[in-house]
Amino acid sequence: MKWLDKAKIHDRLTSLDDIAVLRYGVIIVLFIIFFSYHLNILRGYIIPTYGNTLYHVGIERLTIESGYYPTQELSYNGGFPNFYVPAYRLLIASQSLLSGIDPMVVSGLVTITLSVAVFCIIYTFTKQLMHASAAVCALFFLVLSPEMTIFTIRALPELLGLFMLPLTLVFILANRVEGPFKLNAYVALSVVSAAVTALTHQMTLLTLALVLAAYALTQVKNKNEFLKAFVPLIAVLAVYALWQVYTLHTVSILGLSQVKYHEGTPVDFLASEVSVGFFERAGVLLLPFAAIGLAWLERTRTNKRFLLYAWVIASLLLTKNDLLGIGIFMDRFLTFFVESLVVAAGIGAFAVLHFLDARLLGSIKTTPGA
Amino acid sequence: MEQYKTKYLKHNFKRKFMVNVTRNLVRILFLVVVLLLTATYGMANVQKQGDLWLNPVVTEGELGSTTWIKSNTQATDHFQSDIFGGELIMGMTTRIPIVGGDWANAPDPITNMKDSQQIYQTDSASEAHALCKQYNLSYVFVPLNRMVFCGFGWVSLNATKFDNSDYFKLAYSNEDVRIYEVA
Repeated sequence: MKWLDKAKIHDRLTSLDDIAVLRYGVIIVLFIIFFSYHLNILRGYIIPTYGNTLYHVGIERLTIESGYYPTQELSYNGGFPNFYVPAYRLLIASQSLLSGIDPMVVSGLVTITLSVAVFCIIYTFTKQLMHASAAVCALFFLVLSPEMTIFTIRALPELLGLFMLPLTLVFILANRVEGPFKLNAYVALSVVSAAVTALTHQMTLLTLALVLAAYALTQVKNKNEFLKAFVPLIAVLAVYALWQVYTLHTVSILGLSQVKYHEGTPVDFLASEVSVGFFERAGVLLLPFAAIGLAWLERTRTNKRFLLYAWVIASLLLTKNDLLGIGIFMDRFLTFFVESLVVAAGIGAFAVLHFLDARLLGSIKTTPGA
Repeated sequence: MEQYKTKYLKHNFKRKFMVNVTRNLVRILFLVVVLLLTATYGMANVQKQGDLWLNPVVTEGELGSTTWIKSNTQATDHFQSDIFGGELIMGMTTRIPIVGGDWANAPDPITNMKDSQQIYQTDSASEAHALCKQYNLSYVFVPLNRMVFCGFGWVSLNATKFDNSDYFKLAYSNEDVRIYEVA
């Protein structure tokens, strides 16, 4: 096999510079810390049950037993249409069917797998946007973030969403074709990824749609970049609209109990009885480093930087949607805001290290006798 | 001349090598300190918050009872439970609980929550029975070793009323849970 070419691997390994070796070392240490904590998901007699995890297992079990995705709910005494998007549940059901393992256990195993996928996609996105060292720094903030930890240990569709959103953005970032817009593989992948996101988790699709719309708005003068975001935006909206019309026979969400009763907790800087605390959930270091990162990113002057700006602004707007009088799922949108700040903070820490490296280590060579 | 050149190159190589080693030692030292801090202080904070979400909530006996539910009840049977018990029943048996799961599209989830809590908390067996009949509930799931959460905070339940055989019949029990059939 081509990728198993020993000579090529030997060349690659021997051509690694000192910094690359350090980077890989840090990634391995961070991964061990991250992964070992996530193994706790399987330590008990049952997977963690907070946040409706077993409800999803119920739908997965019924899908496996009946051979079709249920059209009626099991929740709240049943008897009403099930309109929850099916991608995550079908993923678990299919893995359970293929492996013969109970869907409750598969949910735990897939949670660990998806958390590793989130680890990888944060690295990939930050590397595409800035630099491999910035990506390693982003992993540092990912591992240290209570919010990202909480939402990567819960067996929920949102976890798949935390992977799918940056994945869609990676396809836009990786599409570096200049000039007139071309329907290439990256566009196709971004459309497929957006469509899967639409069927993964309602809050993720809202975040993705707003990020894509915000990025497209920043690119109105550049038709090529505009369409790179606009095409998957149409895909995400169209796929979800079709799903909702199919299950609820309407595109309106105003009749939903979650909207009517304003499900969700407001997010404030510090936690209180009625709000989730940003600093407790995000980690104290995240915001200052994210601010440095966004300022540093601005120096690059590339169009792609607007993708991260769009992600930060869109997810912040959704997190504070109570200020706009909406008041739904603010605490759930916070996770996507924190995820965007993890990337920005990684770039910020990279900027600080870059500065220290140049100023402090640069002076070592001029030290007499060195 | 050649001797001097070789000596100079050797000296230059040695100097460069020492600079690289010193730089890398500083880098490694810095990273080790940062990673140690990460592994101690940072992860302690992550664990403090994350461990709350790793809580199974339901007891081992409650999980064990789902095998009996699956084998001895109809697929169409509905259960009185709290949210965590309901989701356990749903997840392991696909039976339908009065509360738990996704309330996005439920007709009146808040009333379900209130009535579920009332069934658990009332001292009156007849009132609990009437509410069970109103929701077409065939069984009552009674956790013995934890409080219940029906949507308005953790509350204690009154289990003794379910022993009134005019209204409820004990169908299954273990050290953590009793399941009553609604008469």
